Amino acid sequence: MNTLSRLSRLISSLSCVFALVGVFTVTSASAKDQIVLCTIDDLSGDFSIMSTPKTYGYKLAVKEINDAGGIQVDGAKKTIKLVSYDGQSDIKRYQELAQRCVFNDEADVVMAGYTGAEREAARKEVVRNKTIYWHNNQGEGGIADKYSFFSGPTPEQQVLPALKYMIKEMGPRMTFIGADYNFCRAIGQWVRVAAGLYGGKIEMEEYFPFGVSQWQSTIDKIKRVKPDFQVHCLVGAEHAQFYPQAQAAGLVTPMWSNVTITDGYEHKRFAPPSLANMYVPPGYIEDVPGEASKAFSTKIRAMFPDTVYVNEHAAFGYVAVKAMAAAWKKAGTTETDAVIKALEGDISVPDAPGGPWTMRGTQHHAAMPTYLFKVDDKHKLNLITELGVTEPTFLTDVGVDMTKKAPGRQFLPPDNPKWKQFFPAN
Amino acid sequence: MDIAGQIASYTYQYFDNLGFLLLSGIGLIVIYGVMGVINMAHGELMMIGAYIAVSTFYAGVPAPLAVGLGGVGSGLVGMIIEQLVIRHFYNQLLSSLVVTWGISLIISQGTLLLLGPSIMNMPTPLGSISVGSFAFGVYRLVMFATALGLIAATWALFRWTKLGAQAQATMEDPVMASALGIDTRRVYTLTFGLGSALGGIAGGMFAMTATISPFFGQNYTPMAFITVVVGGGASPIVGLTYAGMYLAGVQTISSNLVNEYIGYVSVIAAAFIALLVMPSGISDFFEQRRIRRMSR
Repeated sequence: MNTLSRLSRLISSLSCVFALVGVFTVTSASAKDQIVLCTIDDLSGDFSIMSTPKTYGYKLAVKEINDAGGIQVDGAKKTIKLVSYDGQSDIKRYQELAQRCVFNDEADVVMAGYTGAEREAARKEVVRNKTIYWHNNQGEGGIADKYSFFSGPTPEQQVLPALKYMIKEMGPRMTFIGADYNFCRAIGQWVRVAAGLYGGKIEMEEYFPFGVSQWQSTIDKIKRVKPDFQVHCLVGAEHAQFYPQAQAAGLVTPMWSNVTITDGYEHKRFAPPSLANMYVPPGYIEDVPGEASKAFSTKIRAMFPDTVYVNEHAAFGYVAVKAMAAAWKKAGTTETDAVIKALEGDISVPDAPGGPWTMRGTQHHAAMPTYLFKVDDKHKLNLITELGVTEPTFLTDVGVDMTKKAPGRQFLPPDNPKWKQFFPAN
Repeated sequence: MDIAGQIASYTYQYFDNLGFLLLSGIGLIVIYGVMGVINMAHGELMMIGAYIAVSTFYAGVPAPLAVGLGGVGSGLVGMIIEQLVIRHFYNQLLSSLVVTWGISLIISQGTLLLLGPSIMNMPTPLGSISVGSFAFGVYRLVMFATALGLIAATWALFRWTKLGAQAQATMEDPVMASALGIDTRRVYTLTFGLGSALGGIAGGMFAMTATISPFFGQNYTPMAFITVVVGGGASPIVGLTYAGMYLAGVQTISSNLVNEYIGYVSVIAAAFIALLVMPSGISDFFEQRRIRRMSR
C-alpha cells in the first residue's frame, strides 16, 4: 500500500512537471510578438572559460536593442527574446539543442558553438531547417553556406598578416605544433600558405591528441631545431601545460598563437611568466586600444562584475546580434530570405568593440581590424602593432560569390588554385 | 649529438611520466584496495585540493604548506562524502562507480556555480637545471620525489601502524575483522579520508603546473584509472608502482621514437595488453604466483 501510494504520488508530481513544461512550450510558441534569438554556448565543462563571456556579449546587445524600443519588423516594433542554452562542452548536446531552438523556440536566428566540432554539430541542424546560423569567435573560415554567417576573424585576418610580420621581424624559420582536429589542421594549412607567401620555412609540423600534457620530448625537439619563432595551436587544459614546462626548460623562443589568450585569457590563469614572449593576433580583447573597446569592456563589467577578462568571444557575440538587428531593420521583416538578402548587402557595425566591422555579402565573413600583442614576463599585454583592416577574399579567390550561388560546403587553402604549390602532397 | 644530455632527457621524461601516473593514482588505489570502491570523484577531490592550495598560497601561506592544507581539506571532504554516501556501497564496484560519478558531477558543477569558470594557478617554482644543451624544469622532479614520498609514507602507515594492520585485516576479510573487534566502519572512513587527502596533495602539486578550473580533475582521472586497473587491488602500493613503471616506460620510449601522440596512445595499448595477460592487474598476478609457489 505504502509503495502504491508513493508510486501514485510520483506519477502525480511527474504529471505536474509535464503540465508545466506544456505551459512553457505554449508560451514560447505564441511568443512571436517578439523576435527569437536562440544561443547555445558552453556554460559548463572545460570550454565554459572561453564561452561564458560570449553570453555576456549577447545579453548586453539584446538589452541595448530592447532598451531602445526594439526593431520595426512586419508592421510592429518588436523586442528580441533571448533564449540561451548550455551546451555543456558536449557535441551531442549541440545537436539536440539546435533542434530545440529551431522547432520548440521557433528561433529567427541561432548562434551556437565554440569549437569547430560544436559549430558543425549545431550548424548542420540549423541550416537544414533553413534558419539563419551564426558562429561568433575565430574559426578556420571557408564555409560557404547560404544560411551560415561568421562574425569572428579567420586565418585571413590572423594567420596571414601576423605571420608576415613575424617572418619579417624575427626570421623565416618556424616550428608548428597543434591539436589534432579539424581547426588546428586547417590552421596548419594556413601557416603553410603564410610561409609560402612571405618566405617562411616550416622546420617541424606535429599534431597531438587532446590528452597530451607532458611536453619534454617536444620541447627537446624544438630546441634542437632552434627556430626563429614557434607557431602554436594548442587547445585545452592539458595542452596549455606546455607553457610552464617550456618556461622551466628554458625554451624562450618567441611563440605565436591565435587560440591562446584571445579565447581563454591564459595570461590571467597561469601565474607569470609562463606565457612570456607569446604573440597573439586578436580581433578584440579588452586590451585593444580605442574608445569603442573601452566603452564595451566597461559596459560588460558593469553588467557582469565577476568577469575575469573580456575576451574575443564577448565582442563578436555582441557584434553578431547588432548585425542581425541592423539586418532585420533593413529587411523590415524577420522572413529568412529577406534577412539573408539584407545581410548580403554589406551590413556594418561601425562602433564594434574591436573597430569598424562589415559583413561582406559575397563572403558571409566579415572585414575587421586585427591587432598584434606581445605578452611580457609580468603577463601584461603590450600592443606591438596594428595589423589593419583585412577584407575577407578567400571565397572569392576560390571562385565563390555567395550572393549568386552558395555551394553549401567548406573550402580550405588547398582549394585555392594559386596556392597549389604550397601543398605538394595534394 | 649531445649524448649525455639526450640520456638525461630520456631519464627525466621517464621520471616525469612516472611521477604523473603515481601522483594521479595513489589516492585512488588506496581506496580501491581497501574498500573495493573505484572513486570516480577522485579528480574532484584533487580539484578541491588545488583550489585550497591556490587560495591559501595567494593568502600568503608558503607553497609546500599550502599543498599540505589542500590535502587536509580534501581529506575532510572525503570523510564527509564517505559518511554520507559511500558507506552504503562498500565492495559494490559497479554501484560505487555510478554513485561516485554522480558526486563528481555535483562537485564540479557546484564549484562552477559558486566560484566561476577559472582562477589563477600557482607559479612553477625552482627554475631549471642543464645537462649539455638540454635544460629541465626542477619542479617536475620534485613532483616525482613527492610521489615517492607519499608512496613510502602510505606503505609505512599500512605496515607499521595499528590502523594499517586493521586496514589490512579489513581488506582480507571484513566480516572476520569486525568479529575480532575491529571497527571496520571507522577503518573505511579513515581510509577514504586518507585516499582523498593523497588526491588533494596531488591536486595541490599539479596546481603549480596546470591551469585550474572546476573540471581540472577530469584531466587526471582517466590516466589514474588506467594505472590503478593495471596495478590491481591485491597489493595496492606495489601494484601501483609496478603499473606506473611499466606504463611510464612505454610512454617515454614511444614518445621519443615517434611522437607524443603515439606515446599517449601506446599507454592505452600497453594497458590493454597487460590486462589481457593479467586480467586482474599486476599485483594480483604476482600474488597468485606467490600462492601457487607456496602451495607446492
